[in-house]
Amino acid sequence: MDCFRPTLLCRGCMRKAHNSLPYHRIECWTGTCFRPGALWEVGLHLTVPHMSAMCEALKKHMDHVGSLESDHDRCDDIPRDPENTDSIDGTNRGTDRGTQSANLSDLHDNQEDDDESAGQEIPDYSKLDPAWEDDLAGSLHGPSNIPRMDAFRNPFVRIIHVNGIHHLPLITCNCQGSDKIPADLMFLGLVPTTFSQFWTLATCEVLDHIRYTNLDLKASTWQYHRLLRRQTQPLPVEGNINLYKELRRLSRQWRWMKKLKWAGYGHGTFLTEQRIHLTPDATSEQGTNITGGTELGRAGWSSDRMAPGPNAAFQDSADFVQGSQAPIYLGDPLKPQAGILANFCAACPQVGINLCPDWEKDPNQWVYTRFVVLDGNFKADHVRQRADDNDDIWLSNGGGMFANQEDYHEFIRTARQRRSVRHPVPHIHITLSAGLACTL
Amino acid sequence: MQAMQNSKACDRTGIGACACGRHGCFAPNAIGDFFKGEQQRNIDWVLLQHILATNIDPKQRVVSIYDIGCLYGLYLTWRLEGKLPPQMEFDHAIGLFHVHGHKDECFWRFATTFLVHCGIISGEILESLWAELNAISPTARTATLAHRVEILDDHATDSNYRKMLGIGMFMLPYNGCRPTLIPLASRDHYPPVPSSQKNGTAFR
Repeated sequence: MDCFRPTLLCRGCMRKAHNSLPYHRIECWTGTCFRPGALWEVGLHLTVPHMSAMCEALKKHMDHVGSLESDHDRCDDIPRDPENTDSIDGTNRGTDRGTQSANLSDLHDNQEDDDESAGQEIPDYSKLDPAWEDDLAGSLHGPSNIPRMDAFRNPFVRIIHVNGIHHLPLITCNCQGSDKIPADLMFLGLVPTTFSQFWTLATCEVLDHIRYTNLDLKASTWQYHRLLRRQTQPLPVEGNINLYKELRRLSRQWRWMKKLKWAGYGHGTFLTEQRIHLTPDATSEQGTNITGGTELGRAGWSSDRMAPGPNAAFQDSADFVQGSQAPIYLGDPLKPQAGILANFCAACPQVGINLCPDWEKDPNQWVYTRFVVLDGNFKADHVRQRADDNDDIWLSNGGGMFANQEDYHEFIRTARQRRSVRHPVPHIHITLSAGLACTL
Repeated sequence: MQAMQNSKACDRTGIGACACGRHGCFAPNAIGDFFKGEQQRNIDWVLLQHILATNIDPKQRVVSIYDIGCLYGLYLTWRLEGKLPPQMEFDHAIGLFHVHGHKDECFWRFATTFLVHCGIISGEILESLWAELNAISPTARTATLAHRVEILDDHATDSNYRKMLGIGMFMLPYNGCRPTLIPLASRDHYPPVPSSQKNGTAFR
């Protein structure tokens, strides 16, 4: 269905064609109509190799799975009902039949699609057997009896992708430790909802899509979740998968991870590992940077970052490492340095960034004027939360555009204040009656 | 009188922000919540963070443009004593839309039109940024506080990001008639591409 120029394929060919396209939706010819199918029905597995290479154990396991699935393919080709076998033309079968479902409980999969047999086979609804009912439901909703495990006890996982929710058995390998599996999954572009048990995974594409729809279409995660449900199953049925909570959490995490990546946090582990091999002098130099995030102002900022920390403004210019390509350890991602996840204007004249060192000698000093526009917005309010909802987790407190909450509250509490107006109340009345913002 | 209101339903009644007046980029770390209307201390934080976070040198001239810049500037240096960099001075101005709501004296004294070496600047760039942000604010209204901050943060960052891409397209093919700033800006700021990356083609 998602393929360009889709052709009718048998079970094995469909599996082979989608080895590297596991998030395609397919359809299955039931003998009377196409019903929504799934790639697990043709025996597709999602294999998660290690980041470095495919290990021997995993290769062996895949061979087992492959041989079992080819056996299934052969079983699938043998018609089980002798009556139907007679009516089926061997040449027709390859072209007319669509993909076969793996659970071949119903006989009607092998029905031929010509007018004569269709005319004879008008279903008598009073005599429907359970398999037929399944088939009828399947023609609307797709396969409903998704198994929890395959024959090798590989768990079925839900995969959230831009075109809906998919189910596939997941083959993982524990030979490098089960704690490495999340990293292996991330390497494949799959983000697990939890890091211990992998029942639900989201692809990087869908998480990017959520963010883009939020930024450009102003769609909330709830709206995106409804879209996904509709794409997966147009008819709302009982037992419909509700992944709103998972999506909501993942969308936050994803946004945070992207920001960390852009700010250069990915190099942190790189440096700590490389640090051991550095010369003693270099180690001590780097060590000062590693001690704390706030020390980072000293190291300046690399050329791909737009906003250096606030302290950088008052650094001695000799401390700047301009255009430095060395990875900088940025400290704990949960306590980001102020403003490091944000970006700022590239065109404003900023000393140490886009001005030459002798800018003060320029006679046209007005060029270097900085304009600061201040304003308030009363649309971006926030309704009071319930008292028990106050266990928020602040992912990027003070790292982005918003102020660090603790610092901000402290500032507000201790701010010096002085009335600009001698008698404010009469003036407010005059202001109101005159319709002016200020009448002083 | 929106600025004086207190709300029982809301624990945050709005946000205050600042942007660079010419290009309209939000300043990092400088969006602050309003707890009870738009108070001077909220805006003080916003201005202070703009100065600290965006590499403003004390030797640069700073023009602060605010809706009620006439009153706001009165005791600003007193309020931010010890927090601002030393020898920092401000020119206060009022945006060209809001100045007409003031007295006539404010117009002559604070309108950006009559400020020396100010160029043509409206000082109302944030209003257009709010228009875009207001589309997402209803979503953030009922989110948790942390999530709300992340949503608004992401939208502000994205606004800056798109602006940055746009500025690049605008500045480069300028028919040789470039602003004064460019010849003075250091060209060697951008590191050259390593030769190892230039050779070879691969697809993923």
